[in-house]
Amino acid sequence: MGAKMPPAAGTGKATPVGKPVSGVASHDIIRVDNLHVAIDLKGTDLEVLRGASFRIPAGKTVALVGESGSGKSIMSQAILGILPNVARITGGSIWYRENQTDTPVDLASLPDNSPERVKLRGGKISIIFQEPMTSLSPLHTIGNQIAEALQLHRGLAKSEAQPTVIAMLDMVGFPNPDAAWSMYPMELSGGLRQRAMIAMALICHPALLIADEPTTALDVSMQAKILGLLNDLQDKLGMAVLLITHDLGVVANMADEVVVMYHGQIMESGPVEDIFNDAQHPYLKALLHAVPSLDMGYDEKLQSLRDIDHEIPTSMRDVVQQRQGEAGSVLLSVKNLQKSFTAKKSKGWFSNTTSSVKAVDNISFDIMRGECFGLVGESGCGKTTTLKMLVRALKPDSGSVDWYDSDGTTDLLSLEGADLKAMRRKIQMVFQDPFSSLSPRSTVLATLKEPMEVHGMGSGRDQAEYAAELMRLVGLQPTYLGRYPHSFSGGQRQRIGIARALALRPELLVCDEPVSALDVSVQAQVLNLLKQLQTELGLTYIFISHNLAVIRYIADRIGVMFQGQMVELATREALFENPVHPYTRALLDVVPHADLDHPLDFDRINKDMAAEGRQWPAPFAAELSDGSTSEMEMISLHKDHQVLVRRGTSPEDLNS
Amino acid sequence: MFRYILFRIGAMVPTLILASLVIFTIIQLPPGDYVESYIGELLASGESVDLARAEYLREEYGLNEPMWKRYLLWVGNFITGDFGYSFEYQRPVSEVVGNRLWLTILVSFATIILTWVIAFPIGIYSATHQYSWGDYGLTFFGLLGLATPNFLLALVMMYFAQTIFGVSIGGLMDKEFIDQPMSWPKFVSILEHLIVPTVVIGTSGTAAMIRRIRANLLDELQKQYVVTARAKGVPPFKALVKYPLRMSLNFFVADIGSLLPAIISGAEIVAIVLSLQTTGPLLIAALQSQDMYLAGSFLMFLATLTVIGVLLSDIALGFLDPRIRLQGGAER
Repeated sequence: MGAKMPPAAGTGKATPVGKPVSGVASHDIIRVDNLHVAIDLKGTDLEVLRGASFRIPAGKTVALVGESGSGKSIMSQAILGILPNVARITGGSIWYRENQTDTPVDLASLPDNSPERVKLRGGKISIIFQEPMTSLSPLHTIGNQIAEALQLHRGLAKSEAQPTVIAMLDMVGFPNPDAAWSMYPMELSGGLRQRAMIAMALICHPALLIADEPTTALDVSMQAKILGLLNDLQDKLGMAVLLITHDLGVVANMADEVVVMYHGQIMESGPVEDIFNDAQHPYLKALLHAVPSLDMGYDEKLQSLRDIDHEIPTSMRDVVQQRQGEAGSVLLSVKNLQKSFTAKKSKGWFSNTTSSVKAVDNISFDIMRGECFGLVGESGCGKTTTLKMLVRALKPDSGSVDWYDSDGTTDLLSLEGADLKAMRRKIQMVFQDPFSSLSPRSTVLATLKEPMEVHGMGSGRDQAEYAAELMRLVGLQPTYLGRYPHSFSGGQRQRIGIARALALRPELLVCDEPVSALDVSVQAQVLNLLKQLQTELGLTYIFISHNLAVIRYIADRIGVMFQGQMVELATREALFENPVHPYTRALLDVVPHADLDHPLDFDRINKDMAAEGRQWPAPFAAELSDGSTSEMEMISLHKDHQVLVRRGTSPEDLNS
Repeated sequence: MFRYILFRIGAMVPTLILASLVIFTIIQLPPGDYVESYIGELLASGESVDLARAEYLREEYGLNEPMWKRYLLWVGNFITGDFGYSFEYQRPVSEVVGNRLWLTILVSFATIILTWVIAFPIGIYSATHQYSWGDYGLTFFGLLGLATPNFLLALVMMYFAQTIFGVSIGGLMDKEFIDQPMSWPKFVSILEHLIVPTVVIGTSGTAAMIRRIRANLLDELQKQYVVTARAKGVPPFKALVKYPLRMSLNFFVADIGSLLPAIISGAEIVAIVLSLQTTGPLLIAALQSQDMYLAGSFLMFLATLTVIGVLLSDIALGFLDPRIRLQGGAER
């Protein structure tokens, strides 16, 4: 405590730190100096922070960038004093100074539960987390949880805190803040939960807000709204923000300064302009090239940080040549597919009301052999429901799905028994979450053999040999077959998931957000692998994502879904160069670009997207302001570019 | 919620009818009836048997009626609060059980309170200090308690009490107080005798509860919302009690339902070993001597308490956990 604050951060040897921003007459609220944190792993210490130094100027936004495992989250936990039990600070200091005139306090020298630190937490330094679904207690009301911070730090009674909390809920954009006071987290959507979390973090007007991947779990439009909200609140409350993220698009739009972390050390830091225009460190350069963006060329290949080698087993080669000959013909034809869900809502003590939601509303599309068909849209737009009906996991209310191959046409929806089982071999799925989609109690060998056993493919010995080939196919060592999923990283697990999907040599691979749970550094790796496998094995993909840049990188044709409807369907180039439907345009507008000259328009974004449906210009709106309604239909603008408009609209009408 | 409770109360009726059928069948399963085993007993002790009296007894209790008629008679009386007549004690069942009921409830309550008082602090300590020496040590004793049969522990304690301290620990009070009106010395005597049965009956329950509290709390301690609470500046103890502990209590509340019948049944085997005047030994004796009304009514009483207990648990869970209250009824 009595020690003097060092003149500048970055005196540590291994940490080159950029020059301070010129022209900013403010002090540093946090100055991390040569910080070491170790995790105790069964008696041996593993250093996760190895002499990291950086600063957070008061009122500014500092972005902390790096892949998972680089020590970003540990850094935020060390600053807050909420390190897990196994971790402890082994050296260095964290200087905290709220105002220019205050004496700096070394937080690293105080125990986590000392009164000084408990007072700072939630009062002066607060945090929001990545996962809005789990970061609030399900048993307590939103009001209770937010008011708790005021009770602790301002000594208010709960009833006194209520008006302040409701005002805060209003500020973070709750449509009905009075009602939200007594609601439980489970009654709110992911976006609203994240807003509640932000309200909780900001209720005591902290000097520093740590945002730990605040938008990673949200879809693009929600991400843009939350970022806009954070920007807005920072202006109003004048706090500093430490933004932990791996999305360079977010960094470009939010940060004043950037700190790049790798393996517990600071690789590079400085003003955001310097970092983007003149990246010095090879790691940062690599990271910039590993992330798909809307600005890259259509045939440009992502440079994954760690490339993988894979080989195609000979047994698969002959099928491939046959398939490549058939490329371009229709494989699957979906017509007028519909699905409604009824939700029973308990309103009061006596009555139950049911409401019906059209999850998928009359959509039609064809999938060509050998192509990758992408489906994009916000969460809840019906992407996954559509997929589930294609793989016969859900029964549609009406519509048809036809499968074309050399044996003729098959009606997928009417298949039963042995025919259905045979068809399942041709369509396989890759799931979003690599952690829950593999059984923790099965070895990789058992996981890969299971589909073969179900379909009676070959003897046990054949299956084991084939499993080894599958491992090589996704770039993993066959010697790993005896291991359990927990010994693999997220990217490796997702590759095992892909190998399992390929075990039955399917023709169509259905990928439901296969990279959205992965870290940026392995995202490129898995995307490249999927792309290579597609051409090498002659596969057809249906690929769902809420990330437009990912879809743009991998898909040949793309369908845009909004509230259960397909609003636009076009080739990749047509969709991104010449989007016609206002929803597609809005969706493209909210993607943050990793480019300082291309900032997001936060004012426009803060309007609710769902509500924009009614403001759409006449040809795109089913219901006009004068109350007239019309049937909607898909019309073709060109070959391979369709858009949903009012019946009777001609393509010429849209050009004006 | 209200509809839910109404529905649950309605669903209790078929459950209880089913239970009564099963109970009735089981107590009728052994060959013969009470009068037969009564006569057998008399003959065995060399007394003469008045066949006319046996026939009178059969007539009186409707033992000659067909099975379904006897069932209806039994159930009908049960509903009106007439639990039948114990052949063996020559008194109404309600009186026979009633005499022992309050002692049983006393022993059971003492046991439950002891279980909670010991299990909660230890379980919470073990969970918050996972893999420490304290956790290992307490876990060891917990497993020991779990693995020791109650009646064996009762025998061992009786032996040591007799040989080392020279006191008899059987019974629930000194012999001179039995059937005496309540007085201060009698109360003290009961308290003295309560210690051993409480410890014996409570041991395995305590051990099991420690393990469950530890496991449930450990699951919750890893959740993100606990970190949120700490990051908000909630002091450590309050952050533990308000969030993860409250959350881990669901299992405990769900358990309260099964306590209701346990309070009344009074740990049968231990009660016999320690010769406690609770309802447990009564039930066993009734089953042995085919004292049909006593056994049947007693079992039916336990079944009813079980169903009511489960209902109470479910209602309590609904009030405590908004997820259970608000989530029901969603369907595809």
